[in-house]
Amino acid sequence: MNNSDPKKTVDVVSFVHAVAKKRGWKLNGDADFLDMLVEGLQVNSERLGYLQCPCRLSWDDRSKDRDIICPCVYAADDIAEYGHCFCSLFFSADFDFSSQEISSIPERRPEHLFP
Amino acid sequence: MWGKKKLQETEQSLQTIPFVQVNGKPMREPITLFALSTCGFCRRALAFLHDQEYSFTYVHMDRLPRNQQDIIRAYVKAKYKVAVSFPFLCIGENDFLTGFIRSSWEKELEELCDEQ
Repeated sequence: MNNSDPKKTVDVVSFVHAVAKKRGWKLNGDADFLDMLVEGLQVNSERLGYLQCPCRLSWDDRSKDRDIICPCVYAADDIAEYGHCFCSLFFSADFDFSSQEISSIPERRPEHLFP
Repeated sequence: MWGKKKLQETEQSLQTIPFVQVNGKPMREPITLFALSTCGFCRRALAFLHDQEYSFTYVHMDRLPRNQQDIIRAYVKAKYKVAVSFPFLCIGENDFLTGFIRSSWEKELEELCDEQ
């Protein structure tokens, strides 16, 4: 556990809104789901000292986890292909939330980078 | 390649994992969920299994020490020939579901439960 740089005061809500705005994405339209993910990011921030994707297992090592620090390097491709990122935090600007329940998408991260 | 002995060792190591047992409707194959406490789809998957009142076991891998995470990863790799991603549902000896897609989970699990 890396306690040398705890970002316990990180404002995750502001962070995810800022990322969405900057990248031209929108956030999960299901308020409960969004809350779960924000909470997950907060937990990871307190555990690890960085905002690691809440849906992936950590190496507990920033350099090995760097591709899955939010927004992960796979998000743009996933949003282009499936309309949302792996954990379904970020969505394409034109995503229609009324059409169906959001489902998991395939993992794009190469297996050799998993812990 | 994994030998039979190695798989047996891994299965034995799995006995040390502090699984939560949920008692409900009996399933024809045992089902086990590997989840992350921080993951939205994992929470949905866990809620689904509770709502359906199935008997199952689960564990939140992010709350386990690294050596126990390694045991589960080795087990999934040896048994199901894939790397574990979340949520991951083991169904008996050979089948699994990965990622939460409600319609797939409903279809697969209804077939394993005689009580509706």
